[in-house]
Formats: sequence, C-alpha cells, structure tokens
Amino acid sequence: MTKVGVSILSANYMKLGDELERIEQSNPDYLHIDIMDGHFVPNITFGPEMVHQMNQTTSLPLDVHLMIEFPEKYIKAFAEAGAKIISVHYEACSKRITEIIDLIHSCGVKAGIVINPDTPAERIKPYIHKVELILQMTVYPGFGGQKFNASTLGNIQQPAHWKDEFNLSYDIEVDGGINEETAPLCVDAGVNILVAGSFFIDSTNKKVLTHTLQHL
Amino acid sequence: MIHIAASLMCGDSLHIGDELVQLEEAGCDLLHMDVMDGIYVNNLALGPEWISAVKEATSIPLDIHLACINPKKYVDMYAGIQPKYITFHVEVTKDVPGLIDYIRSLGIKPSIAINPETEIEKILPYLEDIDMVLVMTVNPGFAGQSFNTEVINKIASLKKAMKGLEKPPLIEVDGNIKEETISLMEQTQPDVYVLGTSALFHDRNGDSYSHRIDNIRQHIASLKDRAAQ
Repeated sequence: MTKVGVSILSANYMKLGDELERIEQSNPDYLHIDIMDGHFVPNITFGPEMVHQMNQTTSLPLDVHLMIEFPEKYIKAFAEAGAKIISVHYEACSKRITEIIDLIHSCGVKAGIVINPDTPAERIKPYIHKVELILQMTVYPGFGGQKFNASTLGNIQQPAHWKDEFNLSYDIEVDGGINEETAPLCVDAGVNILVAGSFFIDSTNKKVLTHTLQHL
Repeated sequence: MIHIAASLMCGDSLHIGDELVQLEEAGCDLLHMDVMDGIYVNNLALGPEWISAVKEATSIPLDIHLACINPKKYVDMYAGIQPKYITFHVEVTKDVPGLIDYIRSLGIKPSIAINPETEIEKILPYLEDIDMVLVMTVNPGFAGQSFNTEVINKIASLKKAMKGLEKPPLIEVDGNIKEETISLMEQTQPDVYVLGTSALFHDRNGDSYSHRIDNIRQHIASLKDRAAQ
C-alpha cells in the first residue's frame, strides 16, 4: 500500500485548526510540513513553535522537511515540537550530513535525506543505509502549485533499485506536483509515500482522493 | 498618540482568523509581524503566504519586522503584500540609505530596528528619512524574554536627538512589554507598544483582548499625566 502525506503549504492559514481537522478526517498517513528560511529556498514559512501548536491538535505523525541553510541548528527544536520524521537537504549540508542524521536519531526521530530535481541520486548513495526516508523533490522547492518534473523519475529508480540490491527498508517519498496523473508514475518507479499539496487542498472529496492514492 | 501593536506570532496560530476579529474589536492599531530567517535570529517565523492571508482577513495595518540578514531580499518577498511599515535591522544592512529609499519607493513606510546592545549613533544619520525606529527591549528571536532596562536610556537619547526634527519618526518598543515594564519607561514614553505574550496572549481565562488593551492604554495615559506634572 502507498502512504500519503498531506502538505499544509497551500492550506488556509486563517483557519489552520479547521484545516487540520479536515485533513485528519480524510485519513492520510502523515502531515507533511515544509520549513523554509528564505535562504536555502526563496520563501519562508514558519518555525518550531507553530509545528508544536499543530502537534497539540492533530494525531497525524508530523513529517517535517527542512529547507533551511543550517538544519543542525533546529533539529532538537523540531524534535521537541513533535516531529516524527525530520528530513534535511543533501544540498544544504552534504559535508555534515552524517553528523546531522546521527543528531536526528539521537533525538528519537526518524531521519530523511532530500534531493532536488537536479541532484543525481548517486550523491546520496553513501548514506542510504543510515536513513529511514529518501525524499525526491519533483519540483524545485519553495512554492506550492508547481508542475511535476518528469525527469526525476529516472532518479527515483536508483534508490528503489538499491533498496532491493542492499536489502534496505527506507521509504521513498516524492513531493511536488503530485496529482492523479503523476502519482501512478511515481508509484511505478518505486515511490511508497506521496505528498499531496494543492491537489488535496483544492479537492472537493478529500477522503476519496486519499483512499485512491493509498491504493495505487 | 498611543499606538498598540499586537505581535501576531504570539497568538493562537490555529485560529488566527478568530484572533484577528477580536483584535479589531479591541481597537488594535497595528499588527506586528516578526519575520525570522533562522540565521540572524535563532528562530524561523512568518512567511509571505501567511502574512498575505492576514492582510486579506483584516483591516488592521501591518508592521513587518525583518529579523533577517540580506534584508533587501526579504523586502522584495513582502513588498507585494503592501504592509504599512517594513522594519529592517541596522546591524546587518550594508546600504542603509539605499534600503530606506527602496522601501519608500515601493509605497511602504521604512523603519529601522536596533538591538539592545546597538548604539543609537548607528541610526542617528537616518532619523529624518524614516517613519519609525524599533527599539528592541530584548534580543530578538523568542517570546517570553526579560526586558532590558538599559534600553530606557537609549529611548531618552533618541528622543533628545529627534528634538527639532520636522517629522520625527515614531519610537516603537518590542520585548516583554507589559504594565510593569511600561512603568519603567515613565519618563521617556515611546509611541508604539508591541504587545506579545506578556501583555496580551498569555492565559486568557476568559479575559478579552479589548479589556487587556484598554488596561494598557489607561496605564500609559496615567503615566503620561504623572510625567507631565
């Protein structure tokens, strides 16, 4: 079965409490939270305090994606805020990534590595045995509502293949332009977690949408 | 005139729509928005989509405080929202006059922020060109910190420096502002008071924002009366 993470990036921030309730009622597997600092990506979202407030109100596990320059500074804060998984960008911390993964684990949280569309999957091969999650961005991160980049499918096949080759059990997740057309392509390539953002938020039947994606 | 600015970052982020209705009813003059980039300060906060949604939902003018390095980049990110003020930190800006002019060219009132340990000499050359000075009374980054009493002399010096200016900028204070710390500023009252957790958003217990803001206004007014005697 495929897992689904709903992203709040495009949610109605004025009624976030209601949005979280609606999201939870459609039974996804995760709440996907994008943290941006305006430096690593050209947008900024929010910090640990708001993640903590969301954690107080939802029972969905929090899948926190750090698109920030110095993720190590904030691992503990997001762990304490309630993150179940913390993912960091290879591009932001390639020289320090082993220490950062260890830090995430020391906080009792699962660790993920994220790669942008133009980062070859080979770059993260040295770390695949250490992480619980590999997140392939299928758009350049920063904004919701972007179009899926099909060239990333080739990249996804590599960690999918390494999973079998080395008998590993990490999840493979995608985020960016995931909808009814692009989701099956990703699942065929080996993805088992789909992040749905605008596709979910704009949908008039969220329960059905989640169910359909989970049964791809 | 006393201006009250609510620090929205300290509010209930799950029900911001409701918070805004109550703040409007309470006669709040400004919404103070802390933008934090995780590098200049050790926290992350308040993106443009969020602030834009606030702008759509309320008539209270926005006062955006950029606690960020490379502030021009963030000015560009937030200018489209058309807040009333954008404040940047003098400590991290290479071309202060350039940024002041740039913000004004976008139809927004420029304001400069100084941290507790920054001397006012750093901003004196710009007083005639800006609409507001944000004097931080704590080091920016987190709610719940203690008021730095040394800042009181700074406010006095700033007011002295502004004497004789045709259009002096407003003086705004942010950081643990509440009745007790406002009393400390009795002799040199600022113009704009940012209220966060200490004065406004702590345990409600049925108390309204109207009541809390009215109390603060009355307290400031009584201090002004006393200082004038």
